[in-house]
Amino acid sequence: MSTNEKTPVKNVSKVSKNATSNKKHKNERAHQLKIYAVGSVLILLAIILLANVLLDKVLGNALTFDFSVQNSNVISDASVQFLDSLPQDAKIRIVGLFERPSSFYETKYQYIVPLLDDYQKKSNGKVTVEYVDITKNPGIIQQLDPTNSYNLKTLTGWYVVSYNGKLDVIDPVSCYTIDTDMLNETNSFIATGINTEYTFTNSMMSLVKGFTNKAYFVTGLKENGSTQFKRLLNGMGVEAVDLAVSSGFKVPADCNLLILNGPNSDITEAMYSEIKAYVEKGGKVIISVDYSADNVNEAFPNLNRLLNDMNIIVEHSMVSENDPSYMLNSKINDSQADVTDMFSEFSSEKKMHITLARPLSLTAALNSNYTTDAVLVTSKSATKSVADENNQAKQIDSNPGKINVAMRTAYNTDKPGEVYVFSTVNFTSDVYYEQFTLSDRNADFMKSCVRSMLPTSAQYNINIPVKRLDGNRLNDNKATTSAGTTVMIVFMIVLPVILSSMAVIVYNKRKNL
Amino acid sequence: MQAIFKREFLSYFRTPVGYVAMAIFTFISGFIFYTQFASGYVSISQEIITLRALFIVIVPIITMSMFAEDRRRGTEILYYTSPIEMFSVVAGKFLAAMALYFVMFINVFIHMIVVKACGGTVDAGVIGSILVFFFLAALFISIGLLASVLTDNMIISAIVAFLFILVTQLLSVIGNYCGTAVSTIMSYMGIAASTRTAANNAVSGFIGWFDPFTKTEDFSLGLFSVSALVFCISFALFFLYLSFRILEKKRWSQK
Repeated sequence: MSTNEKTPVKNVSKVSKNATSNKKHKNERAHQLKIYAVGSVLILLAIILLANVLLDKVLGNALTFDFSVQNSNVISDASVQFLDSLPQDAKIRIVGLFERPSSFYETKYQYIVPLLDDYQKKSNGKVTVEYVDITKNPGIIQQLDPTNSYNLKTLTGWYVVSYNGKLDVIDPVSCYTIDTDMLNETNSFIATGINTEYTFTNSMMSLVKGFTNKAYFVTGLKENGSTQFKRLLNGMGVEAVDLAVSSGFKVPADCNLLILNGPNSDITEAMYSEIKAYVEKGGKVIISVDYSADNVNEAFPNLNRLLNDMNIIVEHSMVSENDPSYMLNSKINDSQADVTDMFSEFSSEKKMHITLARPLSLTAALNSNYTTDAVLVTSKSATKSVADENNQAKQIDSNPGKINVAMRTAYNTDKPGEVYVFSTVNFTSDVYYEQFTLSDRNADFMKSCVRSMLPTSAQYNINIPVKRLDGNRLNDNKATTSAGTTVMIVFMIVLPVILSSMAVIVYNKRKNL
Repeated sequence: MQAIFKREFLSYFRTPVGYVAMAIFTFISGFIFYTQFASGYVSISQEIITLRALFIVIVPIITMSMFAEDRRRGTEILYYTSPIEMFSVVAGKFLAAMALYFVMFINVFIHMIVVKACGGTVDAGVIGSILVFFFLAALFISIGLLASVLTDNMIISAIVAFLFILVTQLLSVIGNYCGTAVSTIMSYMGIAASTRTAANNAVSGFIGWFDPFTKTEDFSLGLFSVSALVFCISFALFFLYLSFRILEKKRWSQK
């Protein structure tokens, strides 16, 4: 009995023991599974992070390949050779005066940031690229430009190239060539080519090799700023310095190019003699004047006397363009002028932008010591006007015809002096280049003028062809307005409506199930 | 996995979800394409880049019902009780969503044909953009799938996926804000400006490093970076594995 009574108790105790053991076993298993699950996730995360960091930081550059059509994001052999030719201890610093953009696609930095990274990558430490926000770190301005020559605080978004204390500044927009027709017609910037490598490599070259020529800007004639033109010259390896007007005006002996940029008052008697002598000794001069509110009453008698000796007359009036195909924004005083055949190699563009130009003409009695040619001429419908008392253009010449707006005159000797006269300041003024940038057609033309006068600068200029960007342009004959309408109807109306209808049909069918 | 993939892919077309997602994608891509076409300049890369912003809308729509719908219909138990690998279920559903993305993308392929026919170009930048589009799609779909695994409710799943993707898309901005915040706090503590700037850059750089958009933006320029693709695919695998582990836990904790 006692055994019979004892047996169930024993069994219950056994079952209970087993249940407890199972539960304990299950708990242990669940605990192990949990540890396994959490542990495996953490280990996987650690492996992924480590692998990505290693791949990104160590092999990132080596495992990046440029498949772009024109290798727009890698520097060409010409730049690589230039970098290789630098001494091993050369340190060129490129500083973007802004934070490195986290996203630069479809911005002006699109074809600059990756290319600069490539400079750094291929320079073996000779070139460093950094981005510094000058609002967060204003000390960088003092560090780069202690004398504040470039007023860097106004150049946010630009690049500074620095070498041994010498500086060059680069506007990102100048790294592109621009569709000038679109700019004139719609005032919108459409990039047609990439000039980034040309701009940066030549900037570095100018800084490393030093300036090969020196241009003097005459100041003190109520002229407007020349900062942009000076930058253009710096980019070509030409040092630009000011030369103040004084009673004892002398052209310095080291002057390779003398520039009178938009004077609003006449030159002095001393300047007349000095510049004439300078040209006759083989000097090179660029003169630009216009017919603006600042000089509407100025006839420039001394300047004219100087130029008359060289067969050129700067008239005291304004060119009025009457041909609508030459006019810009339907204005008579803001138009285009043709490049003459003789100077057609100066630019791929056949027309230049002129504003408030004075007519230039040949003197009645030509000085045979000078050979004088037209550089830019208006259409055959241009006339001459003057400003009336209300500052409105009043026509003074009813006979339309071609009018010169830029001329070149050369002194006929073994070492010919040369003078370019522009009767518009669109090739030299800050106002123009601040609006249209240094990649404008006028800037290209001016560079050619300077090159033609200072040929030695060419040897320090690496020619890197512009990489065209017109791949996205559709064929105008195929991408017509009606084709556009068809695209809109098919892709924005027909297909979405069909798909939406399908969604409604499926929804109704399922609702009724 | 094949059966799951087939069932899941076809289910997009047995419910309005697939059609709605495709209609939205078609309309917006059509709008971008038409705008460019009308200007005379068409950049397919630019179109694809813009379409990447649609992940935030399309991915939650596609992924919200992945597991939540099964739970609602009670078919979820089949996954737990059938002798199939849970990872096959996750992978099958993931691949089905990818396939739907591919179907949607046919639209862009048609745009490319139109561009070629009209004298435009389809260059390496376009190929790079397409490649990146699908790698990013893989990353975001895996995030959406994880959101669907985490919750029982479709709407909550969509919202969680939306927030996950939103944060991922804003990582660079968040990084900059965090960097500035750290710098500001340090300035209150009187720490030197150079140290503050370094800390600012370090924090924003660290957070920004996780931004998949920044890593992959060079592809549209024709610059192909293997590390960016590895980043996308490895984190996609991580999120898929995380989803798999959560489902495994649910399977073993079934009573």
